[in-house]
Amino acid sequence: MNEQPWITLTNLSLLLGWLAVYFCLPKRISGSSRLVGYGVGSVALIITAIQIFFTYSFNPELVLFCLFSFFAVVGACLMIVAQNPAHGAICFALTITSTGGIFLLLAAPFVMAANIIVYAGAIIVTFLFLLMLVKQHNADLADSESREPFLASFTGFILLGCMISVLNASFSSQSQLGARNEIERIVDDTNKALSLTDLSELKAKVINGDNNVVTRLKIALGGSGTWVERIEVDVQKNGTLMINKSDDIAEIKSALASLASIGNDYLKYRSLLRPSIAMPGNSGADPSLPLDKIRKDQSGRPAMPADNTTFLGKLLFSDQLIAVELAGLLLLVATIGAIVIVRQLPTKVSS
Amino acid sequence: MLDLKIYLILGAILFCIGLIGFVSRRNMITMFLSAELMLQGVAINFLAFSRFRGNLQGQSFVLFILSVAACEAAIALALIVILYRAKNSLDVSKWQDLREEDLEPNEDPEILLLDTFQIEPMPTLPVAGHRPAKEEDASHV
Repeated sequence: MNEQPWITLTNLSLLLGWLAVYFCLPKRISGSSRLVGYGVGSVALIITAIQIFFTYSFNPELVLFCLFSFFAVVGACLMIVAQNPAHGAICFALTITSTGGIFLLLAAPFVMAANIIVYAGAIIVTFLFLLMLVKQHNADLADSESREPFLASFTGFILLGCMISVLNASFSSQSQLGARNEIERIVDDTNKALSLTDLSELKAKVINGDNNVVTRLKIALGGSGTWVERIEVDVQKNGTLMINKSDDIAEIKSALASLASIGNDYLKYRSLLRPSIAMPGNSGADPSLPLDKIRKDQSGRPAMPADNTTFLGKLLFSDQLIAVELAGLLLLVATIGAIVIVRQLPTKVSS
Repeated sequence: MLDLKIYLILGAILFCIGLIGFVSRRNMITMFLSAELMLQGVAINFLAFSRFRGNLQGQSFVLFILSVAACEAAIALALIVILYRAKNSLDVSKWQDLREEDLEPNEDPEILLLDTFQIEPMPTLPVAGHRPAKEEDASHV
């Protein structure tokens, strides 16, 4: 495993974000810590924006993404630190509309519309509740005092740091998909070589300059780890067998056979997350297809159907019909439950 | 071109902010909004996977999340109403007597001290009024 440095821009902006949320969370003795929190938070956002603009090429999608995600994250932070819950509800509305923009960027216009309609209703109802329940004149102590702000924000940002580092590790520059394609090619070469009978032809097939198939497979598997150890034990017999040097065709062929079986095992057991059986194809590309065999649009990403709502409706009312019915039942049960919960039992009149 | 990673990171950020709000705030309505924020982060994850897989199943999953969120909103607001009726406050710390009997209360003594200072005085009627003759009649008005 290659060592990652601890002090990176990502970790720095995470640290600053944690401090910002901690300073902004309402505390009993707050003083000017809110202002400090706003300053630190904007520094964290600027660092993140610089990082994003240096990582990705400049195009309209990037600008829109940065705009929407900026408003979403800022609205979310202001929502959790708001002392007045009515301000919090407005900031939540900002977050919902911004995530609507993100949904549009992800080619989901119907979900965007449904999301905004449902949450607009939810936010209006929340406002009604605030008008009913919140004391207007002296603020409730519950709003000006948070429970364990240090520990809560620390826990949240540790979780966020873990998730971001896992994402960075799994989307590293040598992508898993490229490695898989290379391993598929190596197994293919090895199988072709196994069908040959002439020694020099066979050697020409598996040896390419300094690299023979064993070295290529080791590099594709990352250079170390249990799979590479397995190659060293099974194929190279702890380094004594060199395919370049050996002249015994039977020995070379047995080595190549075990190499091909290791490559096949890798492709079978270390597969990308995808279902093993064919799924119903009403939803677009077959989920059991490998990612590089899906039809792509001109941006290099998988093509999505243009009439989103039609295909979504087809999918919901064919493959997921039972789930749709259950969701309807759930809504009915929730409505009845809400009515039963708030119904006031008639109080007995004392006679 | 943007890749899958940056959308997943945005979803993770929204989820974690919602988590912080849920565990640290004490107002029940703010906690409810924080839970909805966590659901938004999850929805971005589903839609991003759906986009970068070329498959609509993620979008249908988000629609189910929406319906579950609507149910959750109905039940949560109903619960908030009855909890408010019982304690006359939206503070979840007022419900610490639901803990097990042998556990220490997780309360800051200074909060309780402050609370006693801030008790609202009950409204008083001016002296000009007069009591109704019978209390039974007053209960039906």
